[in-house]
Amino acid sequence: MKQIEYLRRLEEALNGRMGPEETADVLRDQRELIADAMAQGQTEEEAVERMGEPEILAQELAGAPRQMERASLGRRLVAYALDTLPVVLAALMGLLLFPGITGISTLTGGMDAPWEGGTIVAQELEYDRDGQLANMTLTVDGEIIFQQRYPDMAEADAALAHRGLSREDINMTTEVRPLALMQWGAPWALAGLWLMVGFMALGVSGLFTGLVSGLTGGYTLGRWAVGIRAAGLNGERLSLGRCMLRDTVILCAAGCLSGGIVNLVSLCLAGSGQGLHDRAANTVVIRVPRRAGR
Amino acid sequence: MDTQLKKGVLPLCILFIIRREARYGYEIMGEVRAVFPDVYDGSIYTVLRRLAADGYARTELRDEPSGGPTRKYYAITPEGRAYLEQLRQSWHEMQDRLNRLGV
Repeated sequence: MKQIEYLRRLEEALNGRMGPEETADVLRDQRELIADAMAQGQTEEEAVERMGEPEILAQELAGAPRQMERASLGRRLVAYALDTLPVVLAALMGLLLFPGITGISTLTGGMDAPWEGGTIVAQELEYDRDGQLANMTLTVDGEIIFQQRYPDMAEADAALAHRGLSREDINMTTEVRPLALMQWGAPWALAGLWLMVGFMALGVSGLFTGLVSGLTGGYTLGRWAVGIRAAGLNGERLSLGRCMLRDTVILCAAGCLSGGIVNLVSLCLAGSGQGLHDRAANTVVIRVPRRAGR
Repeated sequence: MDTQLKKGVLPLCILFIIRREARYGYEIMGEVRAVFPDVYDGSIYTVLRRLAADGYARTELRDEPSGGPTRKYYAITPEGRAYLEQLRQSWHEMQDRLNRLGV
């Protein structure tokens, strides 16, 4: 191999491994060394031969590629659960407290709601003389279904209004009107509603995940907790755009549409490899070495 | 001779060679090659470069007199001297241990 050919191959192999200035410096050194060898009576071919293969030299000069350990499926799933479950649970809790839709379930304390409706046969509202404290008790068919203490009448009134009642209804028999939604197979309807809210929460968490991950260099709270992060193929930090593409556009969209099933399947299929979202953004999830800090 | 073993002692050899005065690349390679004839010049160059990058050696471009070529000279730094001492100690310790084992 001639010097020109050798230097060309070396330059090509160094491209991307080190910066242009450093590459130029290496090529300068190589020219000097080959010239010195030739001055000592070696042929050009011999001098080049003694350097070894240019590709191997380039690899040695650039140092071994950084060892990256891919994140295991277990860690990825735990991180995913940590990132999404709180949001989903919070959304479902919010639904529980959402008046109007789940008014009846709130009224009766949730689980043993009289889905078919019911008749409130006795209601009590007591308050002290200056109207500062109010106790409200609602009973259905003789059974106390609701008891609450309010700091003042206004709040007690609001609580009554919540249930479509007013002070005039006190101690009168009032029909509890179940919502139309509740009338046909209420448990199913409610389950569906919950799922829907859960899916929307997944979407929100996807948006959040993309933002946080983009701003912190591939971390989310869950990933941080289990010591993994999303990164480029060579472990490089991801830009905000790539994180949004990966975590928000792909995962969030798929998550909303499928209730997270696509996410889960994609994660499980990926194992420690690339899921759909990884492929779209050309990313991987890697372990963070403990010593390198987070 | 085992390649890994040789590569392991190259930094020691090179720091030892430049311990008294700055030397240029081809000179250093010549000395290393005198004892390790089958080491590629590329490998020696890699170690030289790494020693410089790690601050154990500093480099200087010098024009040879009377229109000679420009050469890069490698000189040991105080850190390099300390590192050389450390490597020498490690090497002697390694020898002792292997001797004790009867190798």
